[in-house]
Amino acid sequence: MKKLKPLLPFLVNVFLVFWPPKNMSSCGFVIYKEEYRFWTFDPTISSQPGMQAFFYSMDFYHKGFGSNFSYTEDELLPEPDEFEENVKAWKAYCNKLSPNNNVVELDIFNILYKTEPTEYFNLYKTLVRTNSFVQFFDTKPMFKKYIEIAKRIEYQCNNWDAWDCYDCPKIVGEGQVVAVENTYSWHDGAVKPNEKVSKQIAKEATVFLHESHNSFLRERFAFQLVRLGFYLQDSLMVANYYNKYLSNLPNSNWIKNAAAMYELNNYKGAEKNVRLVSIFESVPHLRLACEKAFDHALLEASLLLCKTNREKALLLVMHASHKHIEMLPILEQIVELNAANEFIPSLVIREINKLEDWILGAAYTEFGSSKREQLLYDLGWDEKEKVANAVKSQLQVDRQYAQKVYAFLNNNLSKLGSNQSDFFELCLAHLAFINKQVEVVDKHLKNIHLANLNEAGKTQFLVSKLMVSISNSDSVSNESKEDFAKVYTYLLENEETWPQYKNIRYDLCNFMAKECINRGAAAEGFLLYGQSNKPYASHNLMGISNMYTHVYKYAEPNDIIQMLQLLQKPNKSEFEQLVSGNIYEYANDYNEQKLPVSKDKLRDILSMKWVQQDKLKEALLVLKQIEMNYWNNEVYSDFKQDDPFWVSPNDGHDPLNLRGVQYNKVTFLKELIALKTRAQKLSGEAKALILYKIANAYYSMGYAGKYWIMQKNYQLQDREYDNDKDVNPEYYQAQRARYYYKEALKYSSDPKLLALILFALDHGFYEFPGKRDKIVAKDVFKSKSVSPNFYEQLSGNCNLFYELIETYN
Amino acid sequence: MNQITMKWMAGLCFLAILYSLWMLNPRQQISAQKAVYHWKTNFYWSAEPNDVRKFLNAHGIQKLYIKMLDVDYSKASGILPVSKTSFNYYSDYKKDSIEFVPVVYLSNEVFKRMLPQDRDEYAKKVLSHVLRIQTYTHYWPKEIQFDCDWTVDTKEAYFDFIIRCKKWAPQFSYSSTLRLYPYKYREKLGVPPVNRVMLMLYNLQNAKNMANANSLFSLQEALKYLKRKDYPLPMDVALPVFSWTIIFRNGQFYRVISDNIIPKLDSEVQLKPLTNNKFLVEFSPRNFNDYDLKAGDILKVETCGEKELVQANSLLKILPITQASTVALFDLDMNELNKISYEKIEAAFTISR
Repeated sequence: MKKLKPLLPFLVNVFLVFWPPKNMSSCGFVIYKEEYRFWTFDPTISSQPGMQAFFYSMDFYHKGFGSNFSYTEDELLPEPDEFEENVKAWKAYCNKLSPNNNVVELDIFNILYKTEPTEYFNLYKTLVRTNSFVQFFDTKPMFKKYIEIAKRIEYQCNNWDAWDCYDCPKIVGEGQVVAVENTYSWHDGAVKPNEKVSKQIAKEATVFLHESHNSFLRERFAFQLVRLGFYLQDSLMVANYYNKYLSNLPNSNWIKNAAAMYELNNYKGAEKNVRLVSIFESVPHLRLACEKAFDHALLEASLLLCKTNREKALLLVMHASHKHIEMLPILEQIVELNAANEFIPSLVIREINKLEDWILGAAYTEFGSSKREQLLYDLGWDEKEKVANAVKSQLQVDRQYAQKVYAFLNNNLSKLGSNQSDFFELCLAHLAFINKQVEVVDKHLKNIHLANLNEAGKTQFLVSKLMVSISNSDSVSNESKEDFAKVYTYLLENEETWPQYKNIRYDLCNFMAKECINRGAAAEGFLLYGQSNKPYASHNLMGISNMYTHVYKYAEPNDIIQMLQLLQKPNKSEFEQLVSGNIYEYANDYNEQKLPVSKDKLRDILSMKWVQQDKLKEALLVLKQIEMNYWNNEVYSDFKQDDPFWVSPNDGHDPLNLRGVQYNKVTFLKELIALKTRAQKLSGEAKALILYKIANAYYSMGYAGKYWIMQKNYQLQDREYDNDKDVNPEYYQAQRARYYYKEALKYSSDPKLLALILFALDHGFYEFPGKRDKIVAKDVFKSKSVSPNFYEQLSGNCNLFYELIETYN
Repeated sequence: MNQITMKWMAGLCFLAILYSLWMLNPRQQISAQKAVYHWKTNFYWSAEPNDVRKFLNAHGIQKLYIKMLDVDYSKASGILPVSKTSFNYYSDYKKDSIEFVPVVYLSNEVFKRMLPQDRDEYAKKVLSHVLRIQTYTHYWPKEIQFDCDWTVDTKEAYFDFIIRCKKWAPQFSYSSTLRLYPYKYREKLGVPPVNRVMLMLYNLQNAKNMANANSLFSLQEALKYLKRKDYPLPMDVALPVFSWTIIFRNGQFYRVISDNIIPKLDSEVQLKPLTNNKFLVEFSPRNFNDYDLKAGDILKVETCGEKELVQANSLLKILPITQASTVALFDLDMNELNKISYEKIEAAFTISR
């Protein structure tokens, strides 16, 4: 253990970094579905504001994890459209009061939405100087009073009563102070403001509401009172102000609808559901809130209360918007009730995004469909076979569902309105692509008049066309590769305006990489993974996966050789330049850093592949091309102090550096090859000793050894799973080491060396009892007429082992 | 008499002369009760020896004044408690030899805004918050202290508020802090209806004025207020050893934080030094922003260290304090206190006459 000490920090590091993904959820590492969910169909094409909240991919909704991965759900919501409408309304009001005013809309926006109430009052004197809106209303008492009231109400509605105290003794009478025990605080439900202050504000607001003859301010005073009434849990107050001042406003009025959200509490059950319809339709920024307030269990009862088919269709839209399961039956009902419903395009896209995840996700990401996660939970993490079968069956079901969605849309194309036909053709093309009906994709794409699509739709057209052209051939043609490079560059250049293009670019890379690997362009495919910052490898946890881990796991030696050739190729095509460019250091959005591809790292991985095949000379040849400073990195420097030719069977990581040597991969291989050459020329005890050292070297290169980096890109704490591709008996069971130990046994009659060899065979493979060779030490010593004393003492005397190996150094 | 004996005699005579001279010196030294203020918003108290406990034990501190909350007013919120001190108490009060005195800071604005009919209610609320200390120590304090910079306009409201507190909880002794201004102009500003006062020998100039070099302490400024050598109530004194950071936003005073926050800022906050104690905030991240800073804010750090402590202590001799008085250091900031030698701190508690 003492000798293991220098290695401990490294091992702990390795343990933490390469903890297997299987255990991730139990130890707290979680990959959000949005980080791996595959989607290339742009959810924004339907141009429906407020529906972002229901995009299947929340990644875009949250502007990408890279911008803020500690987001709260509401924090990164886009600014509601009503903000702009309200700002314009205030500007118009200012114009009405004084046509030649200098009020700037941005100043209105800043005061209404970007100035905290406390800040507003504390900095009022400065604001009068610096903000044109404040400057304008400063001399208009009623106007100013409204803003003050609104800010005070905003404060009350956002803050729990600070006097509310969980750990304060109670004063119940003069001289009577009662202690409390509670030292924990908790708040649940809606904010409960300070009642005294809130009631005072309500009193003042009511006076002004009655005094004001201006409908613009009156509506707003009434809205503020409804809002305050809601937080004071005063349903009468809410109903009074809503009914008297707001209910008669047009249904499209957002103030009315926003106030109606507060008034909802006055209703229950199905009636409450139906009242949500109008708010959902009119106030985009409240759509998510409506869906949350919607009682899905009362759908049927709610439908019965609806007066029109239009209303029923909207109710069904609300019901379907946030469901991560198949919603085609509901979509069918909506079309039946009201084919002109404005939300149908959004719902169709939602189904397409789901299908991309369920069907394409399985093909183009290692995580597979997000449904797999549920199956793992349902069936159990250890039920690998059951889960695999369930995933397969589920895929069949999903494919059938994809065909149904396609059929539904195709059959209803005429019903859904000619003004949207190009958009629906685009949807049909993508659905056909998911269904692998390549010829049908072309038919739909040809039907599209690009001029009728919005900007996002036009880009989608390019993406869909590219994907189908790549899939529609036995090999990935040069033309497809160059087309890919053009679309990639287009998406990259426009993602500042269209943030969702970033994800589409990543997933397009994952798609193209897989297609290249499967269709004879593996080198380009592997390199292309480096251009995606979205998880694609099963080791992608906490930012440890990158292109190299993928290459190590899946590439053949020849693929790596081609990758190296490609990187050094002169006069590269646009696509080749793209794949040879800088790659993401880690594949996830937490780290956007890109670095040049390390040819030395690729060579190192190639050498590992050769070592795995025991092609030591090939491995050495590759390693010799690596720059010397490559070995100075922290991983390799940890191995410098180890002597791989001496191994303690009790602890394969024991440095045992009795000779005070230093190795890197090159010098280690050189010496091993030299030993193997010498062994061929020797005989007797000399040969046995060399064979013993060779066996030790192979042991060191295995799972239990101290030089595992000869074969592995990383080391896991546990052995990998049987179905993992790089499970290798040479690595995990050190079979070559066993062979050489047995060879050494044949040539030796030295009681000390025999003891060491037999000790190694007995203890070094202890972890694989089923596969241990049945060598009976007693018989060996008997057949060689050698005393077993040293051997017998080894088990009980730790120091003896060190004494014995010192005799051979 | 041999030579050695003569040398001894001469030595003894010299010592006797020294002693006589010492006795003739009119200066007298009085050791006051020793106390410290805890003015941070997080109070941690455990039986384990830590820096704070070592400091308190080394100097034999007998009282710890602990600020429990501030009460402030803003137009947005009304009168409300802010900066409530979170309490982490892992000790046995019976075994601690230090007395805890809970303190509440009440802004003057509170008494401008508090309606007479609400005073009873707020008295109960404030008392209840101050007495939170009992929930953690399981012992009722003997004394409660109010800290308020009252003015002529708010005198009546503040004093009435104290009377109402005494009505609701007469079992406690009450003290009030006293600034130098009401000490000097007691006829105009009145004497608070409490059992004793704590004279604060600091914060003499307007902190809201960015131009003031150091608003915390100035010996010349203090002397202007200390012409009178009596006061109608028993008096304690607080001496300054602390730093604060004043935040100015858009050229206007915004808020003050009772600490030098510069070394504690998140690494993402970018500051540009303007003078040796003023800094311009060039960038401040929206999230993880503990001090609510914005780009464009100016931070002014003011510090009272050893020099100011010694100067403030020199004023004690002209104040009406006795052996029963308490001399308190404001506040228990180990960063500042560690910069001052043990002897200088001991000297700060001593009244030389």
